[in-house]
Parts: sequence; C-alpha cells; structure tokens
Amino acid sequence: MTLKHSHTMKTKIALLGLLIVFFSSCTTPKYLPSSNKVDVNEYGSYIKIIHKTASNIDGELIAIDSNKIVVLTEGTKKCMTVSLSDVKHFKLRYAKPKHYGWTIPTFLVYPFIHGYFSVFTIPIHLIVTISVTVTGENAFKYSDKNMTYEKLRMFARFPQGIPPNVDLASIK
Amino acid sequence: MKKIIFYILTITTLIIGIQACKTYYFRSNYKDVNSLIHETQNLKTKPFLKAHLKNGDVCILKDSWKIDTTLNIVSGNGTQYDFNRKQIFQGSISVLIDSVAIFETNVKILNPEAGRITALSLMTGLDVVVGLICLTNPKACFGSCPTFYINENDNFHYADAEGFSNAISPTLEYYDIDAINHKLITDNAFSITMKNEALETHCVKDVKVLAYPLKERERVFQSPTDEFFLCEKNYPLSRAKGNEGDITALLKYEDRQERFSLSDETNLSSKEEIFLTFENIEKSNNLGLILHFRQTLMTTYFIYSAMGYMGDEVGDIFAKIETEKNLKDKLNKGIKKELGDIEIYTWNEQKNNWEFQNGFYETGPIAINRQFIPLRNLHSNSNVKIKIVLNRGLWRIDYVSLTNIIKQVTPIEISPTSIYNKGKLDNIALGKINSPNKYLLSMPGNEYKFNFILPNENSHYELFLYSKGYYLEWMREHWIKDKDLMKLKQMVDSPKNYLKEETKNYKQYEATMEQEFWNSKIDTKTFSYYEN
Repeated sequence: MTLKHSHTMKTKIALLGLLIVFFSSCTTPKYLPSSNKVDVNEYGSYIKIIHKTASNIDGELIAIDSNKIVVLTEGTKKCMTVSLSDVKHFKLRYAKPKHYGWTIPTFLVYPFIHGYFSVFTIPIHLIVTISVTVTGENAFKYSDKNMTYEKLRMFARFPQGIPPNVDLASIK
Repeated sequence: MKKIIFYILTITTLIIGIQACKTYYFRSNYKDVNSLIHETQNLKTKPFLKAHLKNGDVCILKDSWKIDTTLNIVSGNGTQYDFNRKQIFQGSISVLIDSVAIFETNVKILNPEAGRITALSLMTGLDVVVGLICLTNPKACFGSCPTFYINENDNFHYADAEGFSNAISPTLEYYDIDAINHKLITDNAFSITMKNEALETHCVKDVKVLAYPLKERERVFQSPTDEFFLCEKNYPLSRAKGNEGDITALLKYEDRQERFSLSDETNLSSKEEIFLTFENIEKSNNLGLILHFRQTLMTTYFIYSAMGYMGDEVGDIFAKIETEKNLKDKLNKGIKKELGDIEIYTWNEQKNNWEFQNGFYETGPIAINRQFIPLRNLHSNSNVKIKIVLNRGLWRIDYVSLTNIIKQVTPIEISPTSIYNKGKLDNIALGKINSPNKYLLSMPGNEYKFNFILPNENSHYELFLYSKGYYLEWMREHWIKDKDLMKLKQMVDSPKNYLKEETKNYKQYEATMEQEFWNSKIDTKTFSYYEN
C-alpha cells in the first residue's frame, strides 16, 4: 500500500465514521421515548411497513386489527390504512436508540500508538465499534420475524383498535 | 501467527457476543381487570399502569395505582391524555373500569446499554494494555534499526542480522558485520532482505556480503574486532552454572532457548558470573570460544529514555551531538562503558587464578550475534574452565562452544548486483548502495531485497553481512512530556548514579515488557504504508 493509498484509506474510514454519526443522530421520530420511559409513553411505536406492491409506509402505529394497520405517516402526518395482506414485512421501533457512531472515528485514534499491533487492533476496533453502532441502532426494535400481528397491537397508540368516536382524519 | 489470529478472533467474538442484539419482551395487555390483578400481584415492583379508555384517551398511573372492585374503579396519581395525546389532566385520577378498553403494563428495561458499554470498556482496556506496552516499550511495537532476513517472510524475532544499532545520528555512523551462518549456495546466487520495521529513517551507505568458501568441517568465525578465523572441530559444553544453578541445557545448543537474568533490584550496574566447563579437549593450544548472544531490552530502554529526556529539545541536542566531539565521546563511553562487555576469563591451573581473555559487545535485542574470541595462554589440558562476567539483566546467551583455530583469513567482499524494492527492480537503490558517497533512504515499511553473486556454484560459504550507515529515530509526541534535561545530564555525565537511581523505574518496565516482547510474534509483512 502506498502512502497516498494509505491516506485515501484513512480519509475514507474517517468519512464513513462521520457519515454514520451524522445519519444515526437524526433519524429517530420525536414521539419515541428513551428506553427508560417506554412504560409512560403515551404514543404508539414507530413502524415501517414494506408494502408488497406500493411504496413503503412509515410513521406512528395507530391501531391494528385482524385486517388492517393504521399508520400516522411521517411525511403527510395523515393516517393511512394498509391491508395486512399487502404487508410484505414490517419493522417496529419502540424506543430511541443510543447512537454509538462517534465511537468509530474516536476509537480509531488508539491504534496509532499501537505500532505493529495496529495491524490487529485497527480491524478489532472497526469490527467492535461498527458492531456496537449497528446493534445500538437496532436495539429496541421488532420485526415480523419476532413479532406477530396479535402482539404488535400492544405497541399501537390505540391497542384496543380505533375508538368508535374518533375520526381517522382528526388524529394527529 | 495462527495463535495471534486465534486470540484476536476470540477477543473480538467475545466483545461482540457481549453486546449482541437482545430482544426485550416487556409489555403486557389485559382486557379485563381480573387478569390484571392476578398477573401483577406477585410482582416485586409494581409497574406503571396505562389504562386505554374506550374513547381513545389514555391514563398513565404511577406505581401507586389501586383497583377497587367494589366501586369498580381504578385510581391513582398520573396523567390523562386525549386521543391526540394532548395532556388534559394531571393529578389524582379515578377511572371507571367499564370505561377502560385495555390495561397495559410494562416491565422496566434494565441497563439496555450494559452490553455495548461493556464491549467498549473491554476494548478500551485492551487499548490501554497495548498502549502501555507500546509507550513503555516502543521497540516491541515499533521495531528497531535495519533488520536483515535471509527468509524475507520471517518476522523480527527471527532476524538474521540488525545493522548499526548504535548509529542514532549521522556522526555516529559506523559499519557493522554480522555472521549469518554457513550456507550451501547451489546456483551461486544469494539474497538478503533489509526491512525498516521501525518509526525511523534508515540512511544506508553500504550493504555487502563477506563470504569465505568452506571445506568439509570447516567454519569461519568473526571476532569482536572483525577479524576472521578459519576453524575446525567443535567441542560442546560439558557443564554450565549460573546463580540460578545448572544452565547447561540452555547454553549447549543453538536452539534460541536463551539464558538470561533479571537486573539487580538495587543497581542496574551489577555483575554476575557464569562458570563453564569443557571436557575432552584434544588440542587446547589454539582454542577459540564461540558465543551466540544478544541484548535484552535494557539498552533500548536507555535510548528511548534519553530521547524522552530531551523532550522538545531533541533536535537541538542532536545538533550538538553532530557538532561537539566531546559530547559524542561521552555518549559512546557513558552507560555503555558502565554496563560493560560480556567478559571472558579462563582458569590458569598454574597460577591458580582467572585470566582475562577478551570481551564481547554488540548493541541490539533482535538478531542473535554469533561471535568468537581466540583464547590465549591455555596450557595443555583436556579440561578447560571458563568464567563469563556480565551485567545482570543485560544479555541473553543462546550458545557457547569451543573450536580449534586453523588460521586467520580474509573473506571475499561481494557487492549487490541487483536490488528489488517490493518485488520491482530498483536500479536507483543499487546505484546509491554502490556509490561511496550516497545513502539509500529506507522509510518505515520499506523492504529492499539485495541480490549477490558468489564465485562458485554448489559450494559451502561462511557468510557475513556488512552494513554501514546511521538511522534517525522518529520523536514520539508522548515522549515530549518526559522532558528532563537534568536526568539526561546525569545519564551522560554520571552514568553510575543514573543506573542506580533508574533501577526502580526499569524494574517496573522489565517485569512486563521483556515477556510481552518475546511472546509476541508479529507478521511484519503487513506493516507497510510507504513505498518508493
């Protein structure tokens, strides 16, 4: 590896770290509680629905029954109803994740004093910090792999279903 | 190498395993109040209760909530939100059970970040340990002076030679000759690879091979004053005794199982003795002693300490070393003189005393030096007794034996015919090495393969490597904080006192660093970030 390639590599690693820090810190909806406040949160969880035929839908899970899911979408701030038969997959986040993206560039400073050992400590640092960042981002999540629709209703704003007196259009 | 990869994979797997994703199941819904009472009555910590009302409101009650089945109400302190989750009330709340659609409880998620924090803490611990090793013993991490390898894939623990270890500035330049053993050269070609495995700039003026053709059972050995002696026969060691007891097995074989001791606990300048006995010597009038040795990390510690003491004035002080002869002489004498050589004495039966013969000295902890001294004034005797006096904790000895000298000889000097730089022919490097006034600059990570043509094919040669030049140690940022010019002055002007006062610090370093250094087998092929 040349010195030039080495610098390019280092720059790429630093950029990757910064991008992860940047993106990981601005994608969580405000209504999600921190992990120690899930028991007193009044809102539903954040859900992302991968639609079989149409574009994906994401937002606050409002209600779910045996036929459909109601989501207050992030983009339009309006409720959308999706038939369960149109749901390919779903992902649910019930608390704000802790962001560890900063550890990737920060911990990469250490191997610079490790001499030969940096050959081993750089990969270890990258593997561990990226792994910590990824698991941190993916904490407090469910998906259709580990959650049934029956249980999913517990994470809706209205686990009992849409109250009869409530008009979907009036939900904010 | 496999062991290191195994350890790394184990550590990484362990760290990742500790913080692997967990799925928490913490929420429960109850459609009727009986199941709520039944399932929460045995909980040690009463959870907060969410009552989802039929009209879409939600009441979140703190852990003091109660259910009154007589009045059919649930009550407690908390907050009520409307269907849009706008807070409509806070305080004491009573809700008719019939108005509740679903009750919800949640078990607290305890320390969800514990695994990740533990993983990062473990890694920080690893960083601190490796960092401490490298800060206190940079050579273990950053290498040292030019190292030469017959097998270019070997790592620095198996270096065949290390060049001009003492030449840490231009005026301290000198040539160094290292024995690289005898070889059968089949097609008259011989190669050796020079590596820069350190944070240093190597300025290499010359690299040559000195070769001497051998007949059967002949060897050529090099004396500390770079004289060469053709020898025959080999008398193995019969017995060896050090302070720790019988050390014959350690010194009898060329097996890299070395005898070394730890430094004295009260004074780094402290001698010890080793007694050797050789039996069944056939010709004792022309004997020579062969010794394979290298240094521990003690001198490395002093070099790095000295640079640390210089702190941010390292450039000024090195400029003084370049221009002031007195200072250079002091540096050459100082600690080196105080620590002394490996002194060799032979027992004189007639005078009944030990007679000093000569001493061995070669700086550097990496390559094993294979040297020889002729023994004088030995009387006819089939038994030869030898005493070695050496500074405690400074030397590692692998092998001793005796041989008979045939005559003094002069090896053939052979310059390289080609040089390869990372696999590519480098005629510029060759031009510099073969020019008397030019230097080949070798930067960290550089590897140069020198190719030589020997006079005869299919011949055994005794080979020696001649290297000349100097190197510039790169100042480490963390050394600057160790600046202590008084300590530097004491080191140069009063090495005896310095060695005594520095004992405590060195003992701390010695206890861990020696072991770490020699237990680590690093593949230096992967340490490369500079080319051309």
